[in-house]
Amino acid sequence: MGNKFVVADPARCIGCKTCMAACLMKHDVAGDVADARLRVTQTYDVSAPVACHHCVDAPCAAACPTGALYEDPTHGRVAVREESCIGCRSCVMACPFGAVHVDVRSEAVRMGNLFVGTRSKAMVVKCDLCVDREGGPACIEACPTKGLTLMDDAGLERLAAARRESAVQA
Amino acid sequence: MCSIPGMENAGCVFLFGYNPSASHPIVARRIVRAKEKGAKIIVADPRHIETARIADLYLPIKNGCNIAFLNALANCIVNDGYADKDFIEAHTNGYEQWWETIKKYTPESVQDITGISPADMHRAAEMYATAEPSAIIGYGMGVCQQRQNLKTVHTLAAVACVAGQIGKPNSGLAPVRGQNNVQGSCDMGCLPNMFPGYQKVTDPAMREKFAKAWGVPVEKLSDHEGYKLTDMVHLANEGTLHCFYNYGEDPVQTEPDSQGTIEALKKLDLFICEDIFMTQTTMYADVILPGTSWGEHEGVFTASDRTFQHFNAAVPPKGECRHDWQIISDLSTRMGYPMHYDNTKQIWDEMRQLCPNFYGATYEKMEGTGHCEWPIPTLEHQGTADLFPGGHFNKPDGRAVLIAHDWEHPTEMPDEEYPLVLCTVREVGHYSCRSMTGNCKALSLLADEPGYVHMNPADARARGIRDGEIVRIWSRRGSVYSRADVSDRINKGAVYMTYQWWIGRCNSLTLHAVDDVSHTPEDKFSACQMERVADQQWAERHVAQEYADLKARLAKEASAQDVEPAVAFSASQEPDRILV
Amino acid sequence: MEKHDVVCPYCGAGCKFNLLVQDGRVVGTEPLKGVTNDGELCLKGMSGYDFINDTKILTPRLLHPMIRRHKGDPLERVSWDEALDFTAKRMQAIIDAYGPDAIMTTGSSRGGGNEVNYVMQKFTRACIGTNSVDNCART
Repeated sequence: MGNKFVVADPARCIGCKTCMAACLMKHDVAGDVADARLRVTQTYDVSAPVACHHCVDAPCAAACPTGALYEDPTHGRVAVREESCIGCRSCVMACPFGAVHVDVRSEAVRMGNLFVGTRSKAMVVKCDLCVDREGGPACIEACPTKGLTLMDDAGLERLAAARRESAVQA
Repeated sequence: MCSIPGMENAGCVFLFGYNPSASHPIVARRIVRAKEKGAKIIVADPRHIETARIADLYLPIKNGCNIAFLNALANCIVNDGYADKDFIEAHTNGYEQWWETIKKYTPESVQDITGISPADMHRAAEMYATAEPSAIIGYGMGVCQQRQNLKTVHTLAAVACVAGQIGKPNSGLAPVRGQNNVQGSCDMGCLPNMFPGYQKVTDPAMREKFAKAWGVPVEKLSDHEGYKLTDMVHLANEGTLHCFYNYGEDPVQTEPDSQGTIEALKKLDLFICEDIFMTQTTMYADVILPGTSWGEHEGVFTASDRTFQHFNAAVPPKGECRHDWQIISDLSTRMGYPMHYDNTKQIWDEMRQLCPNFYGATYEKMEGTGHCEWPIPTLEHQGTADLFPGGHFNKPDGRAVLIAHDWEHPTEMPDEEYPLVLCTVREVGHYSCRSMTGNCKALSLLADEPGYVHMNPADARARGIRDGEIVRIWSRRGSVYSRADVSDRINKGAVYMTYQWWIGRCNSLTLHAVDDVSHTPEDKFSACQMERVADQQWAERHVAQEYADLKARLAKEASAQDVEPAVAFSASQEPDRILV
Repeated sequence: MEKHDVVCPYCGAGCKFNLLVQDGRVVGTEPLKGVTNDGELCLKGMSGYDFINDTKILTPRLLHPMIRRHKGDPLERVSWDEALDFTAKRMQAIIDAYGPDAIMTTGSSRGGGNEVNYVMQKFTRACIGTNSVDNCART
């Protein structure tokens, strides 16, 4: 089975960023990074949120030297192993969609109860398809124009069938 | 004059000076649906706004051209043969006089002002006037916050009448409101010329009616119109106004020329603020009365389309906060005019009795997702989605008066020193003065200070500005820092700042010029200049520091509330003191 | 989890939704099938609720009445009785000296609601005796 990804219909996008707010809120929990995994991107004619495509042959995962990004066939996605991220940002450079970024924050270093300093901790921030969320991706549910869908093999096949049909009619 | 859901069913939606995606996303959604149902979409806006992308016809008008544009549109509607002669004949007055002005405005004659080619103007006239079954003109602050605002509304109304696109379902004008309850505070008579329900304060019969209902001698009710909020600054400066009781507004942030507003507030003998937050306005108050927040009280709001809806309280009041109606009633009682209500329903029912158009809007009808769109004159009435049904207007003879005006240029035209037009707009993820949304985590994380100044790539390039850099923008009133957002959706020669930012505060720059009648400030047009800040690292530190300082100042002012009032000695305490 | 239906305070569209309350704090929202929003919300309606909980992200909530006894004094927390008596006395003195048109009040076009606006204009007209009550319709 191939991977799934969140895809936007630019004809329905109104650039309102509700998807971004929903994504951010979903990840606003301890141990996670409160940031939007998809970015509403606007050119002169097009508005649409851009998120990770969960590529089957993912360049981000291929570029990652520590295996922090890896193929997760169970959920049909490219997943993140937070503890392995070293903040080298090779994934950011490799991603053709600009859909991966690395969050760096400082965390306290303690010895028992003693505070002995801070160190920087990096974490890959990208779409995780909200696999731990009941009801699926928060962005899809929140979009007020219902312009987002979770694309999977069946969806791609439907799309291809429709394209073939219009090709025949053309 | 149609409902928001009704927009979906029009044959044409014409957006004029209104960017629904940023100010009302849920209305924008209706326009997307209208498009999917086959409606033609026309967008006239200097910026290539979201809706322009799905428009059948996008008209990139120049800033400040409104009446010239609409007059030329009206000219095309008539000259191209799209005027609805039957409607004009049956339902309007003043056509000949109106045409005397309009006939001068050929699209060619005003092309330099509007920036619109005659061909596009003709297309717009056809698309709008011939739309079946109806066309709606949605307009917003791009009409209202201009020098000729009221005149523009007259012109829009005349366009709708002449094209026969009014007085039937899903037609006419759909004015949208900036704040959530502007319609409501106007409905309730928070207007210097109107009692609740749009009943004139200068009408002796109305004075009589309200005096009787409120139990005061008729002489107690002033027989002349009051002052407008936008007059506050000059009235305070000239010493006419001594006390300003500001309830739930933040004029320092939201009115033009912030510094001028602050100086005026300082001149007052007594400045009272009833609010939920310490704001840049509240911090100058002599009296601070803490009200309850939305979420802590119930009541009714009126949506832009005249729909009354009830909202509940979710959590109890915090600290010593009291409901605003309790505070005001208590104060009134102490000043010798006793007012007492047990709950908001009592207030609402008193109001309904006095306002014939609202009488049928009971709390019962508004339970749950219930709603009442006024006029709703009787208890049995179901509300009114479209005003002026059958072309009957609220004039004594039921006919609309067609009014035309000549275009005048904005007050402060760009010049060599200030070559750019500054236009103030809305941030999609923030609201009004930002005291509410700025205290919400997700919304603050998505967009924060120093805000953004949106500009065309050519204007950025000419100044060496790159996207995301801090720039300085200044006008004859002041100077602020903000972050550049460079986009080809923005027209050349103009910059756009959202009025939510406290550091990148556009109202430090705007001109305080108001129109003669409505006294609405010309927020959409001031002259300014901008430059790249050479030392970007310094600029980033500087805006961060300014922001931290402002927050600290507000927190410090508010911290007085953490110190409990000194307790006066009471009889029971005296013996203890003696014993000790 | 308690649910209380409200109308969004962030624009004139008038979207209806539930505020979700847990342990006296607003913790989330849930769209309702209101006449304009039909089960949808934008980002402000969906996530604009936590200011009620006094997050102090931008500026603190006001929780107690405060006055400046004289112009330029620091703010001082006082009881409601003292705050309202102080205000009543000062306003009355201004009316006595300069007449009711020396006072201007505002309704609020934001979170307060129609009932408060009705009470404010009634107070302005019937108690103070002026028509100088306005709202931010012009901005």
